[in-house]
Amino acid sequence: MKTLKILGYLLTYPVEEMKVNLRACQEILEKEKWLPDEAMREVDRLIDWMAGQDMLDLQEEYVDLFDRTPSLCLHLFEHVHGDSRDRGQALVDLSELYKDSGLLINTEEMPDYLPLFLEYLSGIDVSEARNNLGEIANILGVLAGRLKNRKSPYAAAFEALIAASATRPDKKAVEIALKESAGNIRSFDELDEAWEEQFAFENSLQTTGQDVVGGCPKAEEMLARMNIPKADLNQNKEI
Amino acid sequence: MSYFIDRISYFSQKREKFSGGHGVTTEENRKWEEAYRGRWAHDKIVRSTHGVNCTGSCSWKIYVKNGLITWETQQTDYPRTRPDLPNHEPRGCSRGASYSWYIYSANRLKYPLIRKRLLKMWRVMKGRHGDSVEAWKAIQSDPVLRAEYQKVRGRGGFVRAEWDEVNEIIAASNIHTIKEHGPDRVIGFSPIPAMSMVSYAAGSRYLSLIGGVCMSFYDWYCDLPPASPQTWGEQTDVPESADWYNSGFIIMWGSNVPQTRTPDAHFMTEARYKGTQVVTITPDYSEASKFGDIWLNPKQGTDAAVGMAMGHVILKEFHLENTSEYFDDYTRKYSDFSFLVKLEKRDGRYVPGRLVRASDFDKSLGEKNNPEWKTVCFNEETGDVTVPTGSIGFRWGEEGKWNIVPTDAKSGKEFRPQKTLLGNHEDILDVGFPYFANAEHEHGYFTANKQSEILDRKLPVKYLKLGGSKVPVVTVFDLVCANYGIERKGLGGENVASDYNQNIPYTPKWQESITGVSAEKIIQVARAFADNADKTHGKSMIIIGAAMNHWYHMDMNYRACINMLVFCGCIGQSGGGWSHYVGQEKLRPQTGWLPLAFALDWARPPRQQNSTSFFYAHTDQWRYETLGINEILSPMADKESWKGSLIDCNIRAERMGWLPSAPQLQENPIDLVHQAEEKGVDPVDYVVKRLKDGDLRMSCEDPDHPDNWPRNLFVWRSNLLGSSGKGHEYFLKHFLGTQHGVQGKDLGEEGRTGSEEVVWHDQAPEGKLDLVVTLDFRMSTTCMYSDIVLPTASWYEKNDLNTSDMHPFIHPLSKAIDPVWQSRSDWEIYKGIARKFSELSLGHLGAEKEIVLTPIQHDTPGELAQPDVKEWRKGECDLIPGKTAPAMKVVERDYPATYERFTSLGPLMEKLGNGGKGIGWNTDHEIEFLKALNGENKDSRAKIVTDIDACEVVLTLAPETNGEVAVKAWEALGKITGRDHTHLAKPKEEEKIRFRDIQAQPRKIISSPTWSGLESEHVCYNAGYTNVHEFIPWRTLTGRQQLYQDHPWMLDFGEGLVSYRPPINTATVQSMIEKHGDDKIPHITLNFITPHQKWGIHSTYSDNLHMLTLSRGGPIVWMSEPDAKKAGIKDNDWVEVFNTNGAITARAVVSQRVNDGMLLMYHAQEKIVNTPGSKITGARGGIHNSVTRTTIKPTHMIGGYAQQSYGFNYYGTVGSNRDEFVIVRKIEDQDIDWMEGQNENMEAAE
Repeated sequence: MKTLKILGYLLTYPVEEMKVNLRACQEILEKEKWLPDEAMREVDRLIDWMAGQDMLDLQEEYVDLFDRTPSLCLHLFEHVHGDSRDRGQALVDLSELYKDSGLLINTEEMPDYLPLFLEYLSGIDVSEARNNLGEIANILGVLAGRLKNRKSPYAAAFEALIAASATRPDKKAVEIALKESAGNIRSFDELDEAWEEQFAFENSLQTTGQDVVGGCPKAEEMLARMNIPKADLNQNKEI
Repeated sequence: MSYFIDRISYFSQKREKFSGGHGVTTEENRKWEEAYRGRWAHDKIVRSTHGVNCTGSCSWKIYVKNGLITWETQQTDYPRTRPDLPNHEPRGCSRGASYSWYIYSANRLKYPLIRKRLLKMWRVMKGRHGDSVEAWKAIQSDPVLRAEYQKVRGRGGFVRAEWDEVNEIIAASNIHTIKEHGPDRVIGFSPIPAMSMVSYAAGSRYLSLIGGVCMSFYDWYCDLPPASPQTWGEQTDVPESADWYNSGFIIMWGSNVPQTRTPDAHFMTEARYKGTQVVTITPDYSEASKFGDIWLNPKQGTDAAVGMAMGHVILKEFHLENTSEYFDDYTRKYSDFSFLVKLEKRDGRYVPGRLVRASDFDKSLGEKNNPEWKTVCFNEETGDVTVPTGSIGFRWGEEGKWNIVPTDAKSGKEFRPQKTLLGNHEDILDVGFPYFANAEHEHGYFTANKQSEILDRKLPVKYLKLGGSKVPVVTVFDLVCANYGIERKGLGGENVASDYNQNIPYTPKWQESITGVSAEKIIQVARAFADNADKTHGKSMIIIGAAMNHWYHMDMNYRACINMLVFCGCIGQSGGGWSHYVGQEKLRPQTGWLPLAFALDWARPPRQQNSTSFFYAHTDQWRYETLGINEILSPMADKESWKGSLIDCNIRAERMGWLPSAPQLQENPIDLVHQAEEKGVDPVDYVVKRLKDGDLRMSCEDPDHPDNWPRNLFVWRSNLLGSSGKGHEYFLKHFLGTQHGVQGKDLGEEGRTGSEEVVWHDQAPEGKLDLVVTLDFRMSTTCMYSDIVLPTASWYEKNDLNTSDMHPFIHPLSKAIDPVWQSRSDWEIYKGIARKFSELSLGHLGAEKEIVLTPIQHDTPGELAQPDVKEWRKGECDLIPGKTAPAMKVVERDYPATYERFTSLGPLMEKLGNGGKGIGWNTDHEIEFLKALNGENKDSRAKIVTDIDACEVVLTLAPETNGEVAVKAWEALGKITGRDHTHLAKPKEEEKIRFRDIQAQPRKIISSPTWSGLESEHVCYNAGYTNVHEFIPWRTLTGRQQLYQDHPWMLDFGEGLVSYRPPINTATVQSMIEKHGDDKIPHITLNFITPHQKWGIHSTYSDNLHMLTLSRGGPIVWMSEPDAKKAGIKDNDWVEVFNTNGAITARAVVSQRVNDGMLLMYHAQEKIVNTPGSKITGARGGIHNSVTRTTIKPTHMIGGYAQQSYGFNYYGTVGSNRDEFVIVRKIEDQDIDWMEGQNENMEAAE
């Protein structure tokens, strides 16, 4: 299925050659019929808009959005790990995943670059691809929301990806993320919460294998202690 | 069946418990352990460091897996020190630790970017003209096109570009500029080579090959303390941090060691365990305060008053009343105390004048070589006037007598110089000393202590027959004692104190009303400081920082401290001395690096410009100058000879060859040589004649004329516009021609231009620069304002060298991974531009000759050029290049060969040799070695193709990393001093440090005469060590530490001797208060202080989420509780900070830490993060430098006069900024304007 690859292609830096290929993209998308009509109409609109733009203006728009605005970054881990120390290892893990499928990255791009990830998905089993896409649904949802707020036609590509995936974004999570990036000042408590040290091995595929719960017993104990509701802790003031 | 067959023989039962119940076996999933195993499994671990201006140079391990960086940790394998000295490691800080996540961050620059408007017109013009240079010319000759892209600088609008296309545009622009205007209109700014010296050299080598100008930084940053060259003839030389441990008494004065010298701070705390006393002097309760056994908090900007009072105590108790034998001996040998000074009659009173020279006497006391540069003293035993060896006259034109063993140059016998004439005097005369602390401050914040404007004090004198007449002379020591206001037995008189509690300058009591520090504490600290130095022979130290240096009158702060150290014999002694840690100034392998960096292997001299004067002129800050010369003149100066404005002083300095010029002449220097050759005359004679006739002018006289504009600007390794650019808004307005926040009127509008030298244009230029190119790895404020942005490899993606003044190791930057995305190392970027330049220059430029002007240089025979101040322009003398005016030289360039030259070591190394700081040696062995090591090109020259090749050039040519060269260098010095110094390097003669060696482990440098300290197994590096222990003179007029400055400009500005001078009035607030009086918003006026920050190194790191989270996520200013209350401001409120220079928007941190009257904004918080709009300017709030403006000081312009001669980053005007005041007022939350949707792409709120 080439749909995902084409959506990724539309999200790459626009160059003259892309204009030539836009119609062909449209045709393949229509032929594969993966996207629901509504999403397809939006993608058509995006393609028409791209086709109608002066190339330099389109490039300027692209740089403004995706190169210069961190919250719209097309590198997925920007939205997962940000500038944290986990990012490098996550990139390594992702590149291992590609390697396992017999794919080697032959460009200067990073493994978490969305169009690259979509190309990978377009080469694997469709349902697996839909599931994998579902794992980044929240990111897609946030990016779509941010682009919509900016009235950017690029939002269509993300809506289409969401439509193609197995799961929808979690509405609440997306809302919170959108609120954050709208420049609203968060309270100190909210800030603390956002920056609380996260447990290194929680929900991490590479560290736990399939067994998410089976962590280090010591850590589990610690976790259990920390999960005691605050009221309970207050009762133990003497300790 | 028997049981035995059921019994298991070869297995044991699974045991639930073992070890007596202490061990237990369990069976749960242990897969989680793989995370740990995975974390520490790497393909390779590489050594690198962070090439940022922090003086850290810390060793880090970089972990690489699958070509990706996963992790970094502090390296712990520094070479050990020695017994009883703590080791260096681990080194590092939270900022460095946050670095590796820049690499893949969204902030990272990934592709070359170019301003869309520019690219569009470029493509059109390229299509129309075919030729690239013609295309660029077409754009530049159309003012409408030019303004179209200039006016959107800083407002977004970038597109990605191919390397080839941007290189073509840059090269075409450079070629056009050279052809049309001259090579000196191509300017490059990059600071602090020590932090990545090959990356620096990449750009400076390219610029130097094409005749472009490299801009200074140390002075512009105001990190250069001019008091250092004044006193020692040395830019800056300081002890390494390990030497703190050897100290018995440390004063941390305006230096926040734990915060800004984090990896070194442990030596200070370890010293405290050993019993070292620590006194901290900071106005606010800074991070350093808690380390002080005593904390003194003088009002900011008044430190010199504290220092004067301490000096008063030390002189009185340790030199006069109970003379310390050690101090007495030290100051006779190593200071100018014994030298004689003429008293001159001015307005009916005697004033201190010139140091007496051999030339003042009949037959010059037998001295034939440079007698006007040989100072004299009395022999204490015989009473004879004696010319001791070691003054600067002995340095040039003769050999063997430039040393400071107290020797009579004539007889060659050692003698005892006479320190005081008291008791031996022929007369007692009243001598006037200027007093400055009367000045009323415009905001009343700094308090005056009223005394008479000229303080007459009695001095013991002798008379000498000089120049045919009887002249009274005094010793410097007697002058110094009088200057400090100490009553001496047998002299009496006015304005001197016999008691510390008299309010007479400069007693401890006197300073109380100015600084707020109690007299008792001053006495206590001064006494303890000197007592320790007396008992330990100089192990008292002052660690001094930016808080002292960033004031207009920083020289007074510094000289007050330096005097204390010299009085107590601390300079050049282990554990003692002057520890000025402001800027990573120590480029240890300097003499190896210079040829690479400035292409000295192909053409000499290079063009180097002092940035402060350049930016003052070319960002038109001079047009807004409010400080009059009369405000800073000595009350004893002749006011008639000091009319005009500050820029006039700079213009005079450039014409007399004191300071450099860029651009240099109003015509293209290539054309000038053509014209001369056509006429068949020598080009230098031709230029001299035209300058004298007045039909050719120096560019400095008319900086606003389009012929004199700088045209192309390269910025690399720097955030000029987001960090160091004092007068930020003036840069935006005049240099760049874009939206700005300048509020003040220029002097023309106010009708008080007042200049005598400069050409005034009613309409100031806006947008002088044709092209701004910035290289960076992140989108800094400077990138935002550039036309072309080139993505560079960061510190784990390139090979380079890094050194620091804080430790003696030379450290690599290593390429752990290839540059990410399309970034390239600085070396590769400039190589690429050089290649394109060579290609495109064909048909436009060939082998060309041009005329290069250079100021009179320190450490060359030229430094003896001007014993008097005479101006050729005013007909006071003839124009003689290199003597009364800049030196002029015809230099040949081969433009199409630029790339060839860039990538190979040129012939001048063999022909002229190498050297530095006044000594030279031949380089034959090194060149042969480099040919073998790097390979040869087709012309049999050593290649410099890769960054590692470049590193090897530096390491091979430098004495610090090549023992053989070190021995040669010491030999060369020995010829001049007449003493053998080679023993300092002989044991390391065979040691040659290669790039791979330092990747294996940081290596200690080899001692060389480039520096005044030694690095050995016995002593830590300490500045001045070889001066004291090897009797090598300081590179000053007297050859000794010079506490008395006798240049006529120093005397006219009242700085012959140290005193306290209050901060200047910048006059930037009152008119704004009047203008915004109707706004009805409560406000407060505060002194604006910009210390180095906790959450970044300058602007680097300040935009990453870790550091933003640790601070408050955007720009902040700190203020005291009472001040906040007055203006109705609460903690975390948004405030607007403004004056006539511009406006800042930030959040307020209301803290008890801060003094009343002070607004503290950490230096270099970028405006690309969370900065809302300002009502005052209607634009986005600026950076800290939006409210500053440079004010230059005439004494920093002096040249052609021994230690006061120009050197790049050595001497020159400095960009001080702490005398500034601002208005602070609250912005209500509903008035916060994030300026979204204004197509600025400023990223606010995201």
